[in-house]
Amino acid sequence: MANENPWPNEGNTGHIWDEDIRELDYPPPLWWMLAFYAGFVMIVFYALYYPTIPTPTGNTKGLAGWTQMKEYHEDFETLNKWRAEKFAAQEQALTEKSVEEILADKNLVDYAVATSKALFGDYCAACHGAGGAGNVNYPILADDDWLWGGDVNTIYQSLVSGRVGNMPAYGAMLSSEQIGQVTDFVIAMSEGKADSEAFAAGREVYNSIGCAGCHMPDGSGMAALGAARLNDKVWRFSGERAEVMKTIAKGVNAIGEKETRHAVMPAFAERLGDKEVKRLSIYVHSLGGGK
Amino acid sequence: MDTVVKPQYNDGVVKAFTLAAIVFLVLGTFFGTYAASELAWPFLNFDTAEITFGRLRVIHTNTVIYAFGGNVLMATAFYIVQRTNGRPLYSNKLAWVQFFAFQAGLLLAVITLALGMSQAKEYHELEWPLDIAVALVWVLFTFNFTMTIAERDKQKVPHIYVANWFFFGLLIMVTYLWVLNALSVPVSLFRSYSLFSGVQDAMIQWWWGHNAVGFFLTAGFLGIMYYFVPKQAQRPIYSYRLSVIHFWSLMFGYVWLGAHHLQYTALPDWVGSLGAVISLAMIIPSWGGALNGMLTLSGAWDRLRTDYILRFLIMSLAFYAMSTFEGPVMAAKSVNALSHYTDWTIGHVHSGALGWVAMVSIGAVYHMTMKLWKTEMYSMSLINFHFWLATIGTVFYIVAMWVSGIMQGLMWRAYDDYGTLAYTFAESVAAMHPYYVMRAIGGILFTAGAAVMLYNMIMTIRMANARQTQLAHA
Repeated sequence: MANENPWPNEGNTGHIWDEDIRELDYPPPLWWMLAFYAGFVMIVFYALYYPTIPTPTGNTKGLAGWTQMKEYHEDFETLNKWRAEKFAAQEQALTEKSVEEILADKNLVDYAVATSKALFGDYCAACHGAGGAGNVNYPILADDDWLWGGDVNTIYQSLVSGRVGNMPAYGAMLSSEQIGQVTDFVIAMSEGKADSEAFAAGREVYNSIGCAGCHMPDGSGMAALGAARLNDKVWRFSGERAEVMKTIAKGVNAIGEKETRHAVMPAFAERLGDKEVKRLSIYVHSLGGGK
Repeated sequence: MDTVVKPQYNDGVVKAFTLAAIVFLVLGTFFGTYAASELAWPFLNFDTAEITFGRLRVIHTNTVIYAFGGNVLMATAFYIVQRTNGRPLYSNKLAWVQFFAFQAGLLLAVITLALGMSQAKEYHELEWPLDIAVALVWVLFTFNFTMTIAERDKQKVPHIYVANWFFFGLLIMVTYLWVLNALSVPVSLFRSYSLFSGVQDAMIQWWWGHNAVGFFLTAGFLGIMYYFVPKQAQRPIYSYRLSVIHFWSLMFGYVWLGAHHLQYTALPDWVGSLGAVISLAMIIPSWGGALNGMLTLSGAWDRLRTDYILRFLIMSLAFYAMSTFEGPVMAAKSVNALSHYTDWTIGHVHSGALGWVAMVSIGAVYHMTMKLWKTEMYSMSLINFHFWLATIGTVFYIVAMWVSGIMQGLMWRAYDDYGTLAYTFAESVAAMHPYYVMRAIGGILFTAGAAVMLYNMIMTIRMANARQTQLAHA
């Protein structure tokens, strides 16, 4: 093959494949070779500077003394120091005072609200919506309708320990006709027509199976049990007839009922710490419906 | 000179792999564009589990990497190994077995992934029965390729051409890393758990993951570059020595890089440092390949004006050089702290995947189509049209992801006057919307280009077949 090189003068290596593929004998460009060697030099310096080489007992520490945990703590310290310089008094007040005391101090309330935006947005808004506007099947926080109570202390308790809704499933106890009747009565209640004789059958069921025990005879609800108020236009789940029937038939967190509605507010005391929970309580209270 | 008898090549199976590759290019980029559109307009998943983003994204990555990329690699490897060794395949039958087994595996992959069966390892999602099947196909591929070289006429072809080295590297490294990362304990036919746990599992996963990029999506495609650039440009490779140096530095370098996917995690500091510094040192070896390809064109740059196929090949080298610079920069810890978990990573992957891998493959496939079916293309202007759709689509995509990724990273770390986070996570998501739309448009352009290519190829093959029939009747 070597003596059949049809391109004897172009400086190829003399190897020819597939009729015309050949390689020239040029050296790599000088700048490329220099940069290639510089790469090795860089590796040496980098390995001296940062923890890079494993040893039998761990690894080399590097001249910079850098570790990722050290970097993290230093960044965090910088931020904390900056916060402490400007807002030490407010932060201390949030730590020491009760939520009621904080609520009495207008400047402190303003401060808590101003520092809650990302906290609420990242931990609460996924369920309760941006600005507490609510979501399908999750309560609105920006109105004055409260399941468990809207005074600041109760809000604080809801955040500290969480809440678990509870309503029995009536699907096995009632006929579907009865469920339909009590559903119509409950919807009438929300529309202010509960007294109409048209809903007498439903009222009868409502009073006889124990609905009134938690939701009260007039549908005004009971905050101590987290029982929803029924005589207003705000629905804990949905006001659609089929959805109300589902709530009554399947209950809320009803044990043994697979299709029951789930209504759980997680506890945040351990997750965020007491100071942040207080901050959020003030923020939620300020959303419009705090009592 | 003696009369040279042209060797008979087994081109039937190469044709089959080539067509399969382009069909999957259209499908894979379509899946990707649809998944991207779901991020911009979430209603598009129609509350159907099989096409939610979480599943469709995995179907997209598997289709483009393994179905398109795999078929391209198999087509070009068998095309090149025959021609550069002057002999047919070691076994044409085994090649056909490989073809059908591979396509069947890909079909099952799409179905099982849509059903949500996944090992949850990125770029290695297939559950264990399919995992083993893919490994067997790959071993078959390696065997047939290697034997074709081993049994060449060593008098006529004393030296192994550089393109084959890169395919060798690909075949060997992918085999052992795929198998290592696949080690798991099956608990049922379609459920298994990784043999490794915790940070070791993450490290093994990214040892594989980065080499899916380094060997599957780079080494093999450099092999493609080394054959098709000199062929299409009709110029000799610029430097043999450069090819030797950058080949071995890629082979030794790439396996160190996986750790840079795990900066600022439970991974020990020193492992991350090694991953970062070797990544930075890989810029120059990577550029070696791009440089050798581009310098091959010196003296023939004017051909870019008229040769649209060469345009694809050279544009791919430009994107290769750019993304092999960008990647190491992102591996450095201080940049990684900003870029990691953001869309910047997605943009980087696509500048490599669309700009480099897809474009070099497209150039090679156009070249092969004309040779395999012994014809001109049905339409050269459609190739030019495809070139602009692909290039503009890629640029749209990566620019959108640069902006959105850097913006995301900055929003996540921004503090307000009180020293608390300035933005909620949801606000950063909402801010991404225009860039997700722009990315989807980039995807639509790129997919449209792929569809144009498939049309052009089908018309070319019909034209060639019609001519054959005419000749037979004459």
